Amino acid sequence: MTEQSTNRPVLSNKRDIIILMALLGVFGLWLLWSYVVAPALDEDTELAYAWVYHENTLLEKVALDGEVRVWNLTVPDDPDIEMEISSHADHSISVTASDCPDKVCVHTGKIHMKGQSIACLPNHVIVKIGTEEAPGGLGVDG
Amino acid sequence: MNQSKQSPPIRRAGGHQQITMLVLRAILLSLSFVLSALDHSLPSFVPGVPGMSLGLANVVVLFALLFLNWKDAVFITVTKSIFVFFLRGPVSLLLSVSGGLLALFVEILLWKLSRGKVSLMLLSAAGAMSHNVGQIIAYALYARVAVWILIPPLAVMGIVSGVITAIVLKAIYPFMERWFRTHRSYEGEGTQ
Ligand SMILES: [Zn+2]
Repeated sequence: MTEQSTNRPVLSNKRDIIILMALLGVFGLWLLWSYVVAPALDEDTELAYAWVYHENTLLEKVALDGEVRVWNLTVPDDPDIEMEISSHADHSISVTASDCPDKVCVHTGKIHMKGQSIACLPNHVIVKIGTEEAPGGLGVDG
Repeated sequence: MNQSKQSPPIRRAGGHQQITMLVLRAILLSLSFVLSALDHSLPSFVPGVPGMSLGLANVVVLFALLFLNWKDAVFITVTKSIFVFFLRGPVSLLLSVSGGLLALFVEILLWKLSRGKVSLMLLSAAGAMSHNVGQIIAYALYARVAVWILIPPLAVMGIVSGVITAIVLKAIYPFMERWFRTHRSYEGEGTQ
């Protein structure tokens, strides 16, 4: 009981504020780098491409050039899969409809940055954004 | 006026204490449900990752950790994740439980290592960062995709929301201490 009141935590102290500032600095710089500096550096040299896979088979490679399109994904290995993909004027891509039970892919929404991806696990479909040469991401997928 | 006939004095009733603690737990649990529901009714705050939540209910968990004990905090974390499952499905459950448990683990670790000397701000900021990062790592493992690009904004958001949580907790601290003083037994049944 008395232990409770003597043990009342402080809101902040000098040491912890320094730790927080240091963390904020590190992640702030990382944020600045990956969202401002890095995109600015390769802005006009590299157009982003969306790579659409079924299992490990590449189905489509779509340039995210700002053209608005809506199309149905064709999966030769599994013709039952019904997925609708849209590319948008803001250089993004999304899965707009899917026959999968969880609809996680649809709820993922629009993605546009290299390294982002949309996964539809029930259908084994993955959309990854990368460059024209490589699908991007650090390849957790392998 | 209406002088009570036999209003049970708080000081003697061990049973009364148990009931008030039960009520407190029930209030915390329902508060965590409400905050989780609110959280999950907002669109995912990370474009490209479904089911990400801000972790509004973390304030309740941290509160339970400070005023009750770690078991209550774990119980609330797991129960609210199950609630999220009924609300939003398995992926949200996965993200909720991974983020929640990682945050709690980090908070307990900090609390124990510093022997309660860690400040509320660092405690809750570390918790919120872990909550966000735990969710994103769970998503990365689930969807088998790389998510490095999302870590910096999530960490920064975690620090900001953690500091806000700390301020809220600090503000209600005196009230809760008073509440505990009046509702807990005076016979020193121990703090656990
Ligand atoms: Zn899907």
